[in-house]
Amino acid sequence: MRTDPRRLAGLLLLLAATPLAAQDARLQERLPAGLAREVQRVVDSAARSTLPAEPLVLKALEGASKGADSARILAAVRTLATNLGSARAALGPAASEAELVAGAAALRAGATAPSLATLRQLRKGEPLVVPLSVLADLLTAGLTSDRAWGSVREMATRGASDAAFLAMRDDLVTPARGRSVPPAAEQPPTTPLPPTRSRP
Amino acid sequence: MDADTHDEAPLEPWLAEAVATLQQPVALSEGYRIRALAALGPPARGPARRWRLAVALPFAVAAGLALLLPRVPGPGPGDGRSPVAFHVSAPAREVALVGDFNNWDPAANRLERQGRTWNLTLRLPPGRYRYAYLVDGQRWLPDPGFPAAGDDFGTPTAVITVAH
Amino acid sequence: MTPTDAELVARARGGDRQSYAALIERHRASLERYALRLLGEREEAEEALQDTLIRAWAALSQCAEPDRVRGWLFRILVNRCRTRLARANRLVRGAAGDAALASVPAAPRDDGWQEELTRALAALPEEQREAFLLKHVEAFSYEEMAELTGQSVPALKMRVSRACAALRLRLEEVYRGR
Repeated sequence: MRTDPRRLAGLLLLLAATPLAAQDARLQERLPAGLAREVQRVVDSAARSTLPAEPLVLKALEGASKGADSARILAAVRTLATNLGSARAALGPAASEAELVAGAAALRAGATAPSLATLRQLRKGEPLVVPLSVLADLLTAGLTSDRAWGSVREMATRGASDAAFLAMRDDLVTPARGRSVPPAAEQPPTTPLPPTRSRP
Repeated sequence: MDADTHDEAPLEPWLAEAVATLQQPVALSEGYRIRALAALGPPARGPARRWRLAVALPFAVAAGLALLLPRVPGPGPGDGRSPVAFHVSAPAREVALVGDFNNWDPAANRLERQGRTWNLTLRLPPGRYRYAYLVDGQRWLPDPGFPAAGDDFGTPTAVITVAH
Repeated sequence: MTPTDAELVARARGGDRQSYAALIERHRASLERYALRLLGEREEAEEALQDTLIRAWAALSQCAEPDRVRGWLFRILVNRCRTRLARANRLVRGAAGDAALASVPAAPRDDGWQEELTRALAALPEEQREAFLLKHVEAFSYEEMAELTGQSVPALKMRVSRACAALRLRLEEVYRGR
């Protein structure tokens, strides 16, 4: 059978525009068929924008494991895709998948895109996973945006190590979550102490 | 009268004796100091001298020391992954660790019981991972030792950050 | 001439590990005592201390008052201990306290006082045990404790007061009967 060259060219264009990744078997196995298709569409759309597919698949699988309904799972996947895109725009095309995931988490928690871009500038050439993740943790824990971003920016400006970022996060957040230790007082301490200048 | 109403008031005899007993020195092994000092990099000052656990950990391992830094994990030798120890204390028949690192599959990683505690160590590459414990296949528990993550599905979720 | 704490901190900031080790040695007994008395288990205490030493070194440039480095080290240790308590606990509270504290060494000459003291301390709520140890055993002022813990002075006084009241119930009789 002869193939029309124009039709072949059109087919190739179509293939180029469709997702590089095949249908994810995990979605098919763990999600209802209709939902799996919807999630796959979001994943494909993200892939065309060179966004990572894996975090989106994992979000859907998380919802499935937790017994969430389809609408909720789809909404969560779409929100994550949006935040990944915003993180990419703020962090630049060289951002790693891990940085995009952490950046999306920070945005979801209330960080602003300009703050992500500022962080990128402050730590040029250095991995941003930990500072972004710490920013997300601080915001999720209920610190005000000014305080959370102020703490992270201060440490980034100072060239603090990842270990110092995590220590700061632990000091501000983790003790307050311990069930056996009540949250620290709301007021900041009277003198600066490590690894950050204030605590909840 | 309250035994501690006034900052400078003399302590009642029983309390003075208790304090004196508690102020006696304790005997801990030197191992923790050796491990800590072996793991020190240059102090954090700026980007040019930034401390990386990637440097510190292999050094400690080479010294024959079993060094585990569960809260600030750095890469282990070779594969860029870091050991992360998960612990939870819960009355349960079984506890599963479920999260981004195992496709949120409850069958993937079961914790091992040691007394009252359930334990599991995974080796993870740098990144931010959401997870929770699933107790007896029914109850989701966050990790009280790690920060809470924002959750889209109404169940408790923790998050761990593995450094480079 | 023996260097001051501030001098050791300054040298350590420059990368001098021996000075850092000397600084730690100077405050080791106090740090170890607090960690073990609060956490009750040697392994937990040693991990909290190890973590503290590593973090303190990494954050040494942020020590705002090098001549008060003991308090600075304690603040890190207090948080490390809280984290370990929160993490190991603590989904189930209750009978663990006595068993945990059983590993604290008894005094060579023990007539039951040490054992009862250990149990009484273990039975305190952790925030009260923390405040009691910082105040009475480590002899920090309430103002210093407020800096260390992030709690208000009135709240800390209340915790210490309650700790003392609870300890009195278990210890006063034992003390008189010795």
